[in-house]
Amino acid sequence: MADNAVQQNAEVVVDKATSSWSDLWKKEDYWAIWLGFLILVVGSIIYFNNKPVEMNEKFIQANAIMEQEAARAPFKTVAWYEAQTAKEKIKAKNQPIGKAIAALMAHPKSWSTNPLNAFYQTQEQADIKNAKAMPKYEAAKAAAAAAKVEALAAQVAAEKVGFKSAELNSQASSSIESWLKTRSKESSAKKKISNKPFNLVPGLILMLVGFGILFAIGMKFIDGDWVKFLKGFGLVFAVAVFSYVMAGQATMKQYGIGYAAWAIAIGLLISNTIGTPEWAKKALQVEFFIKTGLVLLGAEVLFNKVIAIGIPGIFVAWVVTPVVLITTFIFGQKVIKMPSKTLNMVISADMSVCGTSAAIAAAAACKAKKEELTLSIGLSLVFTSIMMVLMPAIIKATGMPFILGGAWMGGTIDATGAVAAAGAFLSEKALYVAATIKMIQNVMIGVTAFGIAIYWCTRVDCVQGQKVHAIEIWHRFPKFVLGFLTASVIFSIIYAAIGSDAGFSMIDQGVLRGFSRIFRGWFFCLSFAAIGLATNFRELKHYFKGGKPLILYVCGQSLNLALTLLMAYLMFYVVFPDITAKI
Amino acid sequence: MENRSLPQRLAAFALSCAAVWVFTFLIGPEVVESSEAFQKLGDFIVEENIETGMFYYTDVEIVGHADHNARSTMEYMPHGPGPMPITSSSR
Repeated sequence: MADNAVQQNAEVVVDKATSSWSDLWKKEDYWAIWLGFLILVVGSIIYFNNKPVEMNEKFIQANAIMEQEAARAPFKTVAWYEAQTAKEKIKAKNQPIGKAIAALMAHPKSWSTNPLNAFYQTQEQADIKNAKAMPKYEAAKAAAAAAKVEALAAQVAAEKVGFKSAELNSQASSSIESWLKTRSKESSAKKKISNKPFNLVPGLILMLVGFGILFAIGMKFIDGDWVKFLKGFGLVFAVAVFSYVMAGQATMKQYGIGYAAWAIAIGLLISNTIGTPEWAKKALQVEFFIKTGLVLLGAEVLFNKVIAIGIPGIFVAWVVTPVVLITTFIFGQKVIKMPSKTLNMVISADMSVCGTSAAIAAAAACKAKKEELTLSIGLSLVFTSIMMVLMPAIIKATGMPFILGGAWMGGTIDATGAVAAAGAFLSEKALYVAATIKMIQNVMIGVTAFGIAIYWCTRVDCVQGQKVHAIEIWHRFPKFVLGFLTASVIFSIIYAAIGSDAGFSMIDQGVLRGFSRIFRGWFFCLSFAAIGLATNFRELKHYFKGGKPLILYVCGQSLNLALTLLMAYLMFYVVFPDITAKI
Repeated sequence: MENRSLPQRLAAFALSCAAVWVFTFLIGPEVVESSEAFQKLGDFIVEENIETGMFYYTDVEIVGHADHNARSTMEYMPHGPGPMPITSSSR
């Protein structure tokens, strides 16, 4: 194997082009894989040994009802929806152990005027909130009950004529939709009377110690400096905690400013005013945190999700996205003449795929500088806030069908949370389509990261004209991407093997949402905090010179908006109108 | 930054924190209230407690609900007798 002196470039997200067997326990990429896999294995053991009671029996019963109802009427009946809801409620993370993990590892909660409410709530405070929300819940409950009676009556009227009357079918379908809306309001109102006391401080202290030890073990083998790492980790963790606090503030949620942006902002604020102390600098392990987070993210990249909404979803998400990504990148290189290829790629991926998560994966795969990732996320955030407000308004003003509008928003607004908000604001159907399209785009991250890594190894990180041999590709390939893809493949296979119902309950709503995702969120937050603490404003300004990143984003997003709308219209209204009618 | 004295750096830090406070509690809410569209969406987000800043589908609870509904629709698509309803629900 080639000789090596493993050097870590603190500015960049990858390793040098050399390999050795000792890399398995000395290199950061491999430690990201070992730590990530450890968490995934522990999560799997916990949840696969704590299945919801009579899970399979309940699935069989609900599926039988849905099959029967699907054959009975040309529209989704009340019984169909009730069976679907009964299935949806079977979640492994709702088991006692899942709730205990969620309580222990919770990040600071929502608040409005008093930040302490993010950490602590007494029984008295919870009781006051519940009492205040009770009248609204009771009204919502009564409204839902009344709407259900109406829906059932309309359904019976349609059934009396064997569902042969289009008018009666339409009336029944409308009544059922009204019932669904009131039921959704009842569900939201019920959450507001379910407040419980909490105290996050013990959990936060436990996570500070636990995460510190986890990464310190890796640091010991990577460069031996685990003591210095631990000394500074407290500051990085504190910034991460405060980021979650700010992200939970009511007004900040309205703007869609999440923990990632806050972690960078708070880190920048500290590093460019009082200055990041020397004793903390060893803990600014941007790459280590982000790569471990990415390996965990790999498990959430379930390829089974791609068919969630059928072929229309695949075309909108998986045909438009690579076209926009590649076109924008070439445009950035040839027309705008972006000075940095990696910045071009990160912005192109961020804008075309799915925002921050795609930017992280692309940045790590192409060895982008942390300032480039910061800039890309900043641009994405600004445009997400604008599009989240403007797009629903445009859709309503133009009389665009909400399903088309939902697909348009899902394929173009960067952050999944913002997509969900904008979609839900329009209608439940818009939400379903928007969120599903965005979810399918999220799954593209795996392919995107792999493609970018291969492209960089074979075309960018080499002398022009020089043939790159397979072993050289191996030396240069960012190894954590293998962990990311392996996790994705393994979990996708398990998901397919146990069936979509059990997969949803045990993996999606168990191992992932109930365990690994929590770690992943914290690790990304630590990484962004470290980026902020390590970045100088002057270095950041340099990347924005000439406004080229902004021009690239605007041009690329314009293409994305036009192409997504066209493809969504073709798929949902020209080629597959029958699928659209049944959504 | 390294050339500035400690009092200068502390002053810069305090000023920056004040700027964040002003944006969070004064300017931010004002901008939301200045636009009817933004206000409506903003109220909806707070009311439904949607995590708008989250960037992956597993971070957003409501996406799980959408995913389950979409999958159920595809797997158990209604195909009973009679004409399909023509509703304003195409919106």
